[in-house]
Amino acid sequence: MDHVINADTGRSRGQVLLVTTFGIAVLLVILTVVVNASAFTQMMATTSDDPSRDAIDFTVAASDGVGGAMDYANENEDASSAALEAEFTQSVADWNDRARDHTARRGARTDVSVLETTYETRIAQTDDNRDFRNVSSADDWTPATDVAVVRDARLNVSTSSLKDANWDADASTLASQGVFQVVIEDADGDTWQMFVFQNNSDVYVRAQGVNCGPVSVPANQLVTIDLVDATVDGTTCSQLDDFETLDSPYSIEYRSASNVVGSYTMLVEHSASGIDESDYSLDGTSDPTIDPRLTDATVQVSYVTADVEYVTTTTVQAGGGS
Amino acid sequence: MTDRGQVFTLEAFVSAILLLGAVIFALQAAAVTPQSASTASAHSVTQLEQVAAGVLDDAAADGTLKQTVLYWNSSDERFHGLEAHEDGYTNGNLPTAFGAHLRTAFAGDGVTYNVNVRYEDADGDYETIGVVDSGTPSDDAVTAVALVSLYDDDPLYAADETASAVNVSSGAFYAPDVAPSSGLYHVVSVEVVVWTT
Repeated sequence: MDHVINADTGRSRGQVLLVTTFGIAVLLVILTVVVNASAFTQMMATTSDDPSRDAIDFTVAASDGVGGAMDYANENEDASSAALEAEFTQSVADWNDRARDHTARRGARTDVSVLETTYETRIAQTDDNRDFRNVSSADDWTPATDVAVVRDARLNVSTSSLKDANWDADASTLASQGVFQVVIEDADGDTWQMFVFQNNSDVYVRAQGVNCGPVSVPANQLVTIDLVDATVDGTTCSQLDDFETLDSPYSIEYRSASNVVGSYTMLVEHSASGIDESDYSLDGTSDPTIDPRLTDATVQVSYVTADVEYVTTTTVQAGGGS
Repeated sequence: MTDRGQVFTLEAFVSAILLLGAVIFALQAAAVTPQSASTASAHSVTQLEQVAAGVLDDAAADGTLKQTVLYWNSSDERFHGLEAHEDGYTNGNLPTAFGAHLRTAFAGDGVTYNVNVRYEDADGDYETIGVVDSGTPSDDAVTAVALVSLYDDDPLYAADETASAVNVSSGAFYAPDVAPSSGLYHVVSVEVVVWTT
């Protein structure tokens, strides 16, 4: 009996040994898997694979590239806003093509496109002895259209060159008499109108039906009319800047430009097509001239990878290129 | 009884083999870490990449990165101060303001870096020119990249980092004009490859 009992106990010990060993092996494997997973997780968490940073960096590079294209166009193609626009858009298109090759190597698809451009043009006639007609001698012409902002507008007129009219004549009478006018009109058809005439050698400036003046100056002096500062020969004439109440964009027109002699300068912000270069001279003569400049551009930048799709619109100012 | 003894022995052998196999598995199952000849951890590698990217961003913003790209001796057709047999400045010896940025960022940390400029050649293939050549990067090297835009009127820079009278479009530059119909001259990619030694 004892012999049988001892045999049974021996077999049990062998099986216990095997089972215990099996259990220890399983525990070791589980421990290894857990430690491995922890280390792997920590490694993945600290791995820097931030696609958003690449997208931001590309946007910055694109802004620098667009800014550089703008600066180059302003410095080398300033004959007209059309020439500026052509140079700028071609530069941006070329930049986009070159940049794509680089970003494709890093698994990204990129695109940069110009949505909108803004120009600023200095319009000037410096010859005090010339009338205000354009280079083609048109009596009624439009110095600028699609104007967003008028930053400067000063006319220096000769008293003797102005039409003689009654100080209390109405607008239609003044217009029929060929009095020099500046007419600013917005897209809704609302207008602001200014007449400049003389009466007994005194200068009158009528804006919106209200006279500023009379202004008396010696025969050899010019009267300065400042539309932005709203002054006539330094005296405030508040209705002069009422044109700013119009909804931009608007157009600026000269009428009966042959009935005023002097010089003028304007600085206007406008779209790419706001100035007709054919109205101006490009060779620095006594004719009116323009000096356009691209001031800012709105571009859309997109950066797409398998992990991120980033699209943004940014406005780049001139002078900010690399 | 003999049979039982043999079974016990067999069971012991199986147990031992099983246990040994488990131990060997545990020892061989290494965590997935960067294979590295150095002792760099994942944290330091990430930090290196961020520092490199930051240095590039700063240099791009203050114009020193572009100056380095244009730090070209058009007469000798290599970067200023290099000998004909040299493929680039050695680590820490880039004599430009950008080089100073790199030295400040990585000095004394046992860090080595290469700086390369990647551009498109006249045949439309992409080439790489070394600016800083410190050898072959290790397996855990990280790379930061920045794009630099060049225009037809950009001047090359003299050895003293002043703008020279020679423009990049003079034909004596390593990268050709890839946009002849506009003022854009080229868009190059500057790579900074960093690793620990």
